[in-house]
Amino acid sequence: MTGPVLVGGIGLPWLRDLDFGTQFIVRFEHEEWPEGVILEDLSYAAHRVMHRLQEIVPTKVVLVCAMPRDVDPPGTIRRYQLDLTPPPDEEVHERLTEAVGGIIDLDHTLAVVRYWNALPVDTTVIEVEPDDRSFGMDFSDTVEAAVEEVLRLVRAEVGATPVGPTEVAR
Amino acid sequence: MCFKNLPIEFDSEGKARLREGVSDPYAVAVAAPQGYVRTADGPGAQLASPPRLREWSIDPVTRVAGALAVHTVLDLESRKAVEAHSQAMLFRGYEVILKGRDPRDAIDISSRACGVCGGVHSTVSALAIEQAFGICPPPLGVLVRNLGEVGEMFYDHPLHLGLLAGPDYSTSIVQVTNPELVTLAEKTLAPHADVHGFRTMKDLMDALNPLTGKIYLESLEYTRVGRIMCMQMYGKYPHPSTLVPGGVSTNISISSFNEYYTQLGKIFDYCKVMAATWDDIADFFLEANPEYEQVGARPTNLIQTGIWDDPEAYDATYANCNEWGDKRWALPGIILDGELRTTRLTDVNMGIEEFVEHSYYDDWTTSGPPRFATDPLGNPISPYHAWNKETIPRPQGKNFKEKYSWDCAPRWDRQVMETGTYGRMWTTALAARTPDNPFLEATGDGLRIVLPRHGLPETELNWKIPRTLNALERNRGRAYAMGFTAAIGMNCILKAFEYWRNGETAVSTTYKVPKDERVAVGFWEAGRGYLTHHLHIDGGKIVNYQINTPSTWNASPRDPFGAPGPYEEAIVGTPILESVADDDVKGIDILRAIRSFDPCMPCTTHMDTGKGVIVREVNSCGCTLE
Repeated sequence: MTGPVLVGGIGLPWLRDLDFGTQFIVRFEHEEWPEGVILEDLSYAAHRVMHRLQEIVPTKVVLVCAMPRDVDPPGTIRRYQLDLTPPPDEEVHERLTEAVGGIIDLDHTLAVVRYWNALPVDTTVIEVEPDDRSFGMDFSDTVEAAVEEVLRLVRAEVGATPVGPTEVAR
Repeated sequence: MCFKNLPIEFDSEGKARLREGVSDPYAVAVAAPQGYVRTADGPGAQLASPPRLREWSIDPVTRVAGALAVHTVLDLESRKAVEAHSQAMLFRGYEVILKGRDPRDAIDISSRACGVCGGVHSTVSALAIEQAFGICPPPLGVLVRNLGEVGEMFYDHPLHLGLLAGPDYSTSIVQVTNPELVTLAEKTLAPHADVHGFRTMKDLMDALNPLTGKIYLESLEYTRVGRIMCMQMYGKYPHPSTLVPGGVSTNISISSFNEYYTQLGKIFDYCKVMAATWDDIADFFLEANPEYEQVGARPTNLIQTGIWDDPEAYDATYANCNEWGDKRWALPGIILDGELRTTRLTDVNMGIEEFVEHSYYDDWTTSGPPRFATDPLGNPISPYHAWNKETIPRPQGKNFKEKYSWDCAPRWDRQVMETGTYGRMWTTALAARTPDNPFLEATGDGLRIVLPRHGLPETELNWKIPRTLNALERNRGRAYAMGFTAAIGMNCILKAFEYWRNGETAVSTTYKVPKDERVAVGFWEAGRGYLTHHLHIDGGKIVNYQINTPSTWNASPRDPFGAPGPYEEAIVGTPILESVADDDVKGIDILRAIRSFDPCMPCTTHMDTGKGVIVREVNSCGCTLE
């Protein structure tokens, strides 16, 4: 028996584009997905995500998030296979310390769950470069325009549609 | 006499009134901040001139929730901290966001104020709203909220003791700051080895090491148990959407209680181990060097709002808040210089004022008369009271003489008050009142807690009110608070089973949103203590909403009268007990002092404050700020 495929969104509530991960899940969780695919909001602290992953033991994870890296233009979609090499102890301690203080951060989550081997080998991250990071409920036009493409990529990852072109840049 | 600074007196029937003949009862005479303020040519410059006086800034303070900075001056001659400023570094603006919204929105929006205590803001918001709406949950709804809150504590306390404060006393830290203590620990048998399983104090301190220590890792795991307990009651945690005015909207079944009880059972042994652990740690440090008693010490002035309602007493009204407040499992109250002044919630509420003299806000009292001169019962309240407050953010005058924090300065009867987990045990212990039950007794000088058998045998824990409120006693108190909380959880779950057996299974009630003007307040507590949401609605919309949290009190800057806030008080006079050369001092004793409060600072940068530069967006606990 194999575990589920988990599509997790990570977002920062009320912060427009930065809430992309959460709102993506809210928008598409009720659509038809292949059997065994779970869509969940993972917008909570890293160790809580780790405990959740330890509970459901997914065979594949796809994480969706808007992440300001400030290296690509707003709206850029980055898709990458996660390198599961655990980060150094000191980095994990620092990130975990922030996480238990309640900070929600994709990089904290990736560091902590990798350290405790809570992610499957097949883990993909799909990031969108945010445009508007101010308070609000909806996305900027730039990021809104990226939603369909992210959906297509997620569907391809979970086997709902044939895999198309891989790296996508706007 | 309850109040000594505010001119409030009580008539023969106990009704409060302002003393006659006082022309401006809430006048504020602004004083120069007490203590050292660094200036180019003032007394600060003189103080700073001796070579062994060292300015030391910690920004950010790590292993706390959120963005806290502390500026201190250490006198390396006398090896003491001689000055402190506590700075909350970010603004959140929930009060501004909530204006004009449907009051019910406040439950979900204010919940985001805290990323650690993921349900307490929802709960207190629901309490305020149900008071405003004039509704009351059915008894089982009250108990479900109580049980959810118990679960929240078992997220908060293990997290703090195991992951945030614990490492301060671990081998990996102490061997850098005080290697002689590690040598001593190797030779010292742990008094409670039979409970926690660590033979020597060195073994116990090893267990507190970050990432590898057994207690660190177990505590991380127990945060999961706490969250599961919350989810049994709330459906989701953090930020449950099931906390509503008039109860909870969770589908509760007998299985919910059974599964909750299973988790609570696991917690009993952890509570026994943590009390034994922190007894051994505190006693070891205090015996090794009695000066540890002064680390983080400050006067025993505590303010608590109380939690865990009696389902038969709670009616959600402000009119009866003293009666139902007095039936809470953890009592509200004011302790001044170690003496319990009151346990009445109206007294707590009446004495509250918030000042912004040294905060990045404008004073709202200059723009006209206050909205309210009294509370709904006719008790006088100040223009600086939360029901009269306006949040007007304005970063300006950024220096320690003028303004230096996004936190405001709450005061009770114009006195500096601390709040904490240990505070609610303190009020309950001094009041010597708990409902008749087999698991918990308040003895007047402490608490007797009986934890049932699980893996470890039935254990009686006895928490004694400490002589000094200091860093080690805050942590010891927090460890015992887990047993206190578990005992309350046991009582509540047994009561819940009783209601279920009797067929009283409703957990919520219906309501309509009133369109007339209402004011209300939710009194509850977070893991760290005091929590209020003050609400003013009219026309079915929020006119004003004010959140006041534990760290708003604890992290406060100086007030207009010049008095420092609790962190600042606790740091000044803290001895530097590190046994290393001046240049190698890490400031661990200052950090122990600060972390012992379990600070919870805001991290949600929800508003650009004009020309400010946002360096990083994070979303997290925002317990302190506006």
